[in-house]
Amino acid sequence: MAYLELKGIEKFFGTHRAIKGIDLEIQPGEFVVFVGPSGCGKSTLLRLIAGLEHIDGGQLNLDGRDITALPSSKRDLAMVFQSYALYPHMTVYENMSFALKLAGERKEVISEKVRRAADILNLTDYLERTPGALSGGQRQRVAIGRAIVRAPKVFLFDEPLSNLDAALRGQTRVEIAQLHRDLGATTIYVTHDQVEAMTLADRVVVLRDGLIEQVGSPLDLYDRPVNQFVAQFIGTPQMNVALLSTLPAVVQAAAPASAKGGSLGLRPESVHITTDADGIAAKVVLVEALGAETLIYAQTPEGAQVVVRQAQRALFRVGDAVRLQFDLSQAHWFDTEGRTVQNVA
Amino acid sequence: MRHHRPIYTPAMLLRTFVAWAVTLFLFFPLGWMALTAFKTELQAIAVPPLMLFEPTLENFAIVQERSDYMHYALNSLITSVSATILGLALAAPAAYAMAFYPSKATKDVLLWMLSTKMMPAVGALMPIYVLSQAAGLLDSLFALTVIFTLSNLPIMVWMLYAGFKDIPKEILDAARMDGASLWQEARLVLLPLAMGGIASTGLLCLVLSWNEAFWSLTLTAAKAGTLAALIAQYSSPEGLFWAKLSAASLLAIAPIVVFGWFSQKQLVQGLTFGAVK
Repeated sequence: MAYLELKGIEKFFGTHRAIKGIDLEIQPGEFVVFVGPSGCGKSTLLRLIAGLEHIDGGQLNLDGRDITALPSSKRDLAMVFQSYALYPHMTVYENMSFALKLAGERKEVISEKVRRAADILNLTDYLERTPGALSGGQRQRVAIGRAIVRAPKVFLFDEPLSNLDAALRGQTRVEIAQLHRDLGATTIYVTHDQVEAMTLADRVVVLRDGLIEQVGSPLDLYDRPVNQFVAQFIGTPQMNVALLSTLPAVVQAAAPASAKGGSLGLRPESVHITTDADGIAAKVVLVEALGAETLIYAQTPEGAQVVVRQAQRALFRVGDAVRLQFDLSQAHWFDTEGRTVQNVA
Repeated sequence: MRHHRPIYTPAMLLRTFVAWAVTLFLFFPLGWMALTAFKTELQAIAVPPLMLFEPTLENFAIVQERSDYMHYALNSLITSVSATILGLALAAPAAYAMAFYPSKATKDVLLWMLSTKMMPAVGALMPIYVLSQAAGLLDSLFALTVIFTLSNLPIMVWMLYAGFKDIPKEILDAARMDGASLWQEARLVLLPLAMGGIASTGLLCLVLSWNEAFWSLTLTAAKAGTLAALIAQYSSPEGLFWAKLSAASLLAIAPIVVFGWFSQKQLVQGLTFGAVK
């Protein structure tokens, strides 16, 4: 049986149906990431689980209990907010002990738990400071500390890294992954950053317009997207998708019958620059040299945009003519509706 | 850190000069009143006005003797403090709902509330007088307290609303995730964070109620009269007694000025609370 179970969850804002009936089962200890473009409803869904928004339809069960109508304070969930939402008038110690104090925990027990959490998060030296005297990264850790001292049933993270700079974001991402390994706590994590989703998740839930597009392990989504939306949402740079009609006859001939009139999807690493005269002619539009890899943006005479990712550096300049080789063994084929008809074998 | 000698630009000097001029201009009537309170009635109307004179406390003695100052002062105190407490109790929940759970109508409701302040008080004189009379509440502290509360309520809701708006809602969400009940959320998180705004709102209501004259004069007589009524006694059909009028006025405003002076410091502390600590 599932630990956290969403059954037909719905949410309306006025007449707008923001969450359109979500079914999802989360197992104990799982790290689940909700990902999707802004406005897809991922944060709303998290707030519905947290009890911060009223659930308008469906049922939410936690650990065998119906918590659909239970107030946040009684759900036994902890949340880390995007803005950290620390109590500015309390010290770090008071921030982290607030929940335990409300729960009527004994002073010695509180002190021990807070100190242990502070130790894990390298906050021991800052316990007497107020949030105003901390850096962004430290505040982030206090927010996480406030969540872990309680040992809640589920951790909820709402885009916790989006206020940090790139270097700190990467570092904190690793720390969160490590923390989850050590604590083994059930976690739901919301982000619009698919790199965070790929690196942290046991399972990724891709949302669009209040509906689940696909649920699966990160590589599952990468290799076997159910439609063009998921295919292009997961992975940077985006998967190349071109209408069959803009591609040479050889490529069109390779398409399965059900993809007729549809499109071909190829990851940037499945397209190569070739010296072979059979290659598809294209013109270089942009070159991004990232050091470890180079991205070459090219355009075919038919108007198809193609990105090539290669490990070797390239000396191309904008306007250069190149020839492209499509590795069709890695092709994803989509029908006219954008549904996947055939993934990588 | 090294201190540099301040450099004054002409613009800064001009600003300082204008600020002082405006301040003195505004303060002059009050200062003149304070001086007059310590003159005899003859000195008070002397032309040219006397700047140097032997101060006397005679006026204060006469005011206290003729009309019981403490009686009026106590009425002022009771009505303004009660109106402030009652007003905060009513305005805080309203401002909370509008700041943290706004609906489409919130802005309209706020504007509508403010619009009631545009109406001249005298426009409501008849109904309120008749209602008070019918309820047997003329010349009662209760009626005055209710009127003070209601007339200040729109401003109080606005001020608290503005104060609450500055508090990120996620902090209150966090408190609820931490297991706080609504009451704990209000007492342990909202109240300390909004203390500056609540204090200044309460202070303003206190000052406005203390200084209120229109309703005090029209709805009360000897029993529930406030200090405004005390002052009014000294501009009577018998003629103006400038020195006594000044003495009575000085006695009336002194408590609130002293109070304002001290609470000002409290207020600044309240506003910087949490940022420094």
